[in-house]
Amino acid sequence: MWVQASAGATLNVSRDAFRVIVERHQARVFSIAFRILGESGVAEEVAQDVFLELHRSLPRIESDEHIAAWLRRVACHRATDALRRRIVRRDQNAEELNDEIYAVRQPQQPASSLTARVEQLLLTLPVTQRSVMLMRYQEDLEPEEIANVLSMPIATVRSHLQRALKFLRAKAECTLKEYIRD
Amino acid sequence: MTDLDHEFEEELRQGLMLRNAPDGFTDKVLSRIPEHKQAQPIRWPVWRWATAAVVALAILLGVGFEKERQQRIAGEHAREQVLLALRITSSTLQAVNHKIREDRSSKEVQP
Repeated sequence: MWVQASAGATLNVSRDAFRVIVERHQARVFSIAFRILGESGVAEEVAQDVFLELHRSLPRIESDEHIAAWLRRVACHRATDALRRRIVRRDQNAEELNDEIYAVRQPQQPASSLTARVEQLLLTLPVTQRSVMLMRYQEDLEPEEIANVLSMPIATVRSHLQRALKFLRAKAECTLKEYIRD
Repeated sequence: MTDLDHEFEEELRQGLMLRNAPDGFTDKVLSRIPEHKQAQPIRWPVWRWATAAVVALAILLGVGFEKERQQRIAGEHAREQVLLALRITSSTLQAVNHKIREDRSSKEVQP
């Protein structure tokens, strides 16, 4: 058990226990940040901030499952906020923040050709749809769970999924099969 | 959903397998946590206890008020029943008195 709960609702989290938590969830948090932002350096900073916020929020965490849900939610929000700040700084003449201008530079050092291709496609989506797609296909959440994580109606989640899939299918110039290596 | 759709979704899943954070990530996170906070005992915040107390008090007061309200309703109902009974009794007595007077009048008239 990563924490020890004593009578009186007091939790003690040791440095070692928190290290275990970070190591268990670092790939999830970093992947979310990286695939929303499209840049490794900024994604790492955001991921670190997420875990620091987790450490401060531990009194409100009830279980390991709660940790995962909390990290997904906060990672999405922080990465989205970071992306929007970068867009505003990069294009200060923009009259309005438009999801269509959120496409950023290509990711660095892809893990595989298929991953590179999928991440590249994902970055062409508006950031909200990007988050929904990550929750569905990276985190394997159902629409109801996605709605809870991202605080949006289930109908909105389904609409985003439908539109994003349709868009990505049309945008992919060829099937992704050729990128899959045995 | 078509087979092609399923196939495309599966490719998305494969492409979105988790990426590890850069080397040394965990150490960097831990190094940003102040030493004196790392083993800090975590307690339930005072505001949560206060909120729970207020909610419990509100529930108790609500239950008390409801009980009193129901007793008051029951009392008023009983009072209505008594008044109704009295009205019935009164009208019945009036009818009986009227009948008696009528009988007396008819007897006095006869020689």
